[in-house]
Amino acid sequence: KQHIYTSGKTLERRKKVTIEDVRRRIEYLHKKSQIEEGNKQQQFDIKKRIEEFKK
Amino acid sequence: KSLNEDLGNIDDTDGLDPEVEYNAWRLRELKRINRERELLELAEKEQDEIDRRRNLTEEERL
Amino acid sequence: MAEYTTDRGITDSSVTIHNVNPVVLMEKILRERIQDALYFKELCFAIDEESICDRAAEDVKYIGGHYGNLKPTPFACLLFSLLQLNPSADIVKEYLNQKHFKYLTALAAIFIRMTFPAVEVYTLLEPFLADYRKLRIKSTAGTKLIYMDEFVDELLIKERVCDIALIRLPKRQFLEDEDKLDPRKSLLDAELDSDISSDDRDYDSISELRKEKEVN
Repeated sequence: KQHIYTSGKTLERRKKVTIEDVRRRIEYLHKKSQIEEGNKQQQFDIKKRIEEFKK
Repeated sequence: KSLNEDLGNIDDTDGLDPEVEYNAWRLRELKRINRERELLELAEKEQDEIDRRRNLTEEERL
Repeated sequence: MAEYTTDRGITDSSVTIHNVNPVVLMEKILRERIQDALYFKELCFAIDEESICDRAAEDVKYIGGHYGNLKPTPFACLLFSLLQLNPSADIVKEYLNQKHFKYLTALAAIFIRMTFPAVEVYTLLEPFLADYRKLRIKSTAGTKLIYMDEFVDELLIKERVCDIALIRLPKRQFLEDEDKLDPRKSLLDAELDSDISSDDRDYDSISELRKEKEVN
């Protein structure tokens, strides 16, 4: 069982993340989630159209 | 990996009924303000009692 | 990797919070369950301040400590990761105040409650008493709805939130008496002050409150 707690070694190995990196990442994730939301909506619309077409 | 565990059929979408959501918050906030005021009153009462006792003369205290 | 098999405490180049290794701010029992959890092993491995945003945005659908058969939530796993990472205060505030992901805000809020100095806990978290976004909360009792303001209120007045024991927080009133904090401001202050004699809405609300109290 590994109990890897914060250690000097792991801290050194880590890349330095800046606040700008974090901001950019959050903006990117936000856009990504909006696109996914849009896709879901689209798929749903297509499904609905197919259903309507069947009728 | 399945992260789509059971969410208990609870919808966490905001703004479905803005007025209801605002009013529910307003009531919660009033409760908090009320609670804070009551705590303050209680603390002041306790302080008053301490001051009163401190100002008593030796005989009065007994 | 024998040196990794025990809790080695703190090393030279890392910092303590509240005089202890940050990870021990979480109870041992939950910590151990988290380290045994598949989610933690697979998705929190080599996580950093940037990739933790991905996890919080994509995986966290509810707050909470553990649920079901004492399985830790992704929320608790990420909280543990944060304790391990111990990000700079600026980055934590960015998590808290970003507008897009409410579960990331909630994660930052509990992390701040556990690790920041008391005055900052109040000044950073109290603005969220006006935030009424919805959150799911999962526990052994099931899943419920909670609002951000309720969650933050619990963080400020309770000793245990999300099944996580919180370090003692001095009372707000004590910090006010020490002149370290100004009295809390509420968005409703103006409304309450100006309407005290005339408006009926507040009387309604207050009598509503009283009624509710009597019922309880």
